[in-house]
Amino acid sequence: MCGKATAHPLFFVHLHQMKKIIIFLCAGAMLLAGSCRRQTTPQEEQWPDGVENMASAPDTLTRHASLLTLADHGGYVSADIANPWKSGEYLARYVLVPRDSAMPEGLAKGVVALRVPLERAAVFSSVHTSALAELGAMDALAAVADGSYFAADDTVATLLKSGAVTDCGSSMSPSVEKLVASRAEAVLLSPMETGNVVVSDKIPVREVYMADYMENSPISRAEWILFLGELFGKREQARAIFTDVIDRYADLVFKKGSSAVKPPKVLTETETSGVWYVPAGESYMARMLADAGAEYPWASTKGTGSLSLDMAKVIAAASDADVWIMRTYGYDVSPQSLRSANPLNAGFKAFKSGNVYGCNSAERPIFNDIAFHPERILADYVAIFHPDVMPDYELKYYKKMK
Amino acid sequence: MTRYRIVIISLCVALLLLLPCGLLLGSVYIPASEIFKAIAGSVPQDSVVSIILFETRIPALLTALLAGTGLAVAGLLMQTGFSNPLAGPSIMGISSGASLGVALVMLAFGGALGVWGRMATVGGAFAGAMAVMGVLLLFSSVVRSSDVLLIVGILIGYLASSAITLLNFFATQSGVHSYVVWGMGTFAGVSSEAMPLFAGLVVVLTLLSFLLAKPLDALLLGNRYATSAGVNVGATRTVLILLSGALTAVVTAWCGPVAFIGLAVPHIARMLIQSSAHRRLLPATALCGAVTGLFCQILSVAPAIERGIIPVNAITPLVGVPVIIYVLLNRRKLAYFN
Amino acid sequence: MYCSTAANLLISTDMSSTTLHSILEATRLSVGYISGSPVIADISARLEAGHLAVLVGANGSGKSTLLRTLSGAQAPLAGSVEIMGKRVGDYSRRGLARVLSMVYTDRTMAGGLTVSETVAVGRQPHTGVLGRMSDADREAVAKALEDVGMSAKANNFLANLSDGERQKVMIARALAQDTPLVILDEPTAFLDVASRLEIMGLLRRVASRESGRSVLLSSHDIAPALSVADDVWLVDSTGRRLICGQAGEMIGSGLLDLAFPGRDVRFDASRLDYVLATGAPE
Repeated sequence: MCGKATAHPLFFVHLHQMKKIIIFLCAGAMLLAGSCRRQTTPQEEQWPDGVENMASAPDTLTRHASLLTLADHGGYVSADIANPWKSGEYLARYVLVPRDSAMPEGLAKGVVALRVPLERAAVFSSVHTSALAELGAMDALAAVADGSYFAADDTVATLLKSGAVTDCGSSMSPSVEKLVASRAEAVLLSPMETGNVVVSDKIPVREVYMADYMENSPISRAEWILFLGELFGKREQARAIFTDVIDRYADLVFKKGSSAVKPPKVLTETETSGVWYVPAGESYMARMLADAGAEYPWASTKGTGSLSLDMAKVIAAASDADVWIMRTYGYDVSPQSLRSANPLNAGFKAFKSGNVYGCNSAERPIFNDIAFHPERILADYVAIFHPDVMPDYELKYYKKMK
Repeated sequence: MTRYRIVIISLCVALLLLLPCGLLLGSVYIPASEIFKAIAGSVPQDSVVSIILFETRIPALLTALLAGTGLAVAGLLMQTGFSNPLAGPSIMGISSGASLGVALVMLAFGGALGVWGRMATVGGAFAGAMAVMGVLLLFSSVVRSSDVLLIVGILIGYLASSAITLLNFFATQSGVHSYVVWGMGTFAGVSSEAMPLFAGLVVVLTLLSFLLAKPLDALLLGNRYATSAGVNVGATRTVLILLSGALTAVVTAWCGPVAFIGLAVPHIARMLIQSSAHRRLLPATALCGAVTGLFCQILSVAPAIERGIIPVNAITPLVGVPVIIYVLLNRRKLAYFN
Repeated sequence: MYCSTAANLLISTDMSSTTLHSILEATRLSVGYISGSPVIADISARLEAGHLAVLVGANGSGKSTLLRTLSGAQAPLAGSVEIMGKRVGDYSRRGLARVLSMVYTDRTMAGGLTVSETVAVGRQPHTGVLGRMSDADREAVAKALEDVGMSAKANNFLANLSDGERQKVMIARALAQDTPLVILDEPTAFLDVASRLEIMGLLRRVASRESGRSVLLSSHDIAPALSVADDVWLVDSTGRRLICGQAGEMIGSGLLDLAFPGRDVRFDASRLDYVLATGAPE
């Protein structure tokens, strides 16, 4: 009863008002499942044969993430990262061994051992530094990348200024010298399909691939905070955060189910350099839009990435969209900005009716929060799409275009 | 002392002056005294200084030196082989072919790194470079004019680029970003473990090309005079193409498509030694390529105190383009054009 | 010493006795392209040591095809070509380069080589894999430059030379190659009058009994060529044959009129050149 099949329903549901009770039940079942899973050792679990000396059967800690499997072996934790681009293969495998414990023997080839909690870590994505801050593990932050992009009020900016944290430069071509000089034990970075900058085995900084951005649902991605918890010795804090995220997310999904507003048709983002990237039907963003009770024109398309469309295709599919949400960087969206980007933008129904919402990602931490706090962004979406169920809510990320 | 000797000695001195500069400069400041200690071995091997020095700085300097050598020699082989002083690995589509090969291999391997992934990119680059070379070879048997062949090379390069653009279009945005970064070129991509393989390949291929000095001189006088001097023109051309393709592929696989070194350095070498005789021009070009590569690497690292490393391809045109413009403006005066 | 077509007009007087000194010998040779009929059919010809032969004929009569076949660049349709008593096809590339050197019509682009470096290419059949020059090689280069009168410009770039000087350098390269046979395909076609005369004089010195070196050149410069030639090889394009003879005999024989059949020209022995047949009165 605690198999994976029962774990997901909430996030598969395409919501209609009449189904809200079922959803609520499912949400409850999921949360129950989450707690019961920790005591069971499922027989059918395909445990990779990488770790040999299992004193007792491992205790799986993750249940939603499709790319991350954390398991407690009593004495150490294994973390297996699946290759998002090649099914059936690992991107990386780690064992996280407490500093005072003996190294487990008989590790499979390619398994990287890390002593935890990490005392000095380089973290190349602000998504993960903000999670570190939330976990209370900032003491372990040794280096970051793209340091100039941290907002002035971010703790990281202060640490950079004081020199406590090293800036390794661009995350795409970081200075390996600075990474080494920061004396980091590990570097947390987002894996690239085409491979990352090579850190040679002789450099005493281990790469930890945070593939959370390749997860296809918000909850799956949010669960990766458990990995950070294990890495930095904050298991309880991480679990508390994640449980809270699930609670609030489920609550929002439930809430929008009670809305009297028909699901609005929603268009996302804008044309950039002649291409209009919209989330594909099986993507993370499409899932969130569905969870927020939107009718998404490309919901039935295949793929977990984005679709590259031209203006004509977007007009054909979404000129009658009721709501248009977009992210901008460094400016608030305005009728002038949209018109000057492309006069055709003014032809969209949402533009004419003024239902355009912009999130200035330079000011609002949407990219950082969406990873481990999807419920916060979902709240904005629900409030935009179904204002009747959240009457007193003030938008946190998006602003209505004036 | 002959002009040639003076040039060779000056280039060696330049190399010897640039190397310590390269050791001193980097995104992390290490005092000269520390560097001396590390090189003398009186610093523990796992200290930050010796790791930075032996695992990043020295490999990058060696890579720059070797990549410069390999590309310059490949460029010279192509310029003589195609009887066109404006031929070069990046301009004739060889680098694009290698890039396409690497892009395909990167996608096939899907983020899985490691030694085999590296070897596969070398293989992909070689296959891509050879595919373009093969097409050029086919055309060269039909098209007699080397100018037409040059244009065919440029067009094939565009085809390869369009294939890469297509791959990018369908790739994820992060994938696109990493192609873009790879396309900027870097001399930091050869780890100390991979160095023996990289260095071995470049050195062996360069030395092999030195063996071609004699037939290359004959080729300068055209196919018929080369034949009259006993040269097997067809076989020589094939070997030339294989060698220059292999050099381009090896460098491109590890460093990305580094532009302009292959095109510009042979011209610098010719102007320095005032000769096109390959017994002298080949070593001078190789040495000049090493100096140029090293110089570009130092330029790319020196100003980068805060912003990481400046991509190599932002530097090489600054060095290469003025040379090419000078050459083009003076083509009436330059002996090897007339 | 010289040659004949199969349907012989001119029988050599001492053909059998000089076989030993024959540098180049074509026997019952047909040349042309496989797809078409032979351009020149079933000819025999011989060039003796130290002789200078000039090949004359109208454009398109097959002079170049014949020279290509004689030099091994093109296979004969029938018959054989021997240089120094060995079939051309049996030579290795390097071996052939040691007995035969070529000079072509076009202005040579040397890709930045100096005069002496260009001439040094002629030494390639004699040097090792790396092309390292011995003192003897360097001497041969210097001697060749001296022979063509270009020693003063040894270190100039070929690019800075006049067309006539370039051609002299290419001849020096052939001399440096130190072969018993030098074949030149219209070496003077693009040169000014002075250069043409100089080159012909030079070729006369090149082919000599002492050096044992023979020269075969095709040329439209009839007068200067005939004035230095030992032998004349005439392509009679109507008969697709080759008429060979001593220069003196050929000049007097009226056979030279056969070079331009159906054209309004005749050979004037007093001028050593062709003149209009119905043109201005003498």
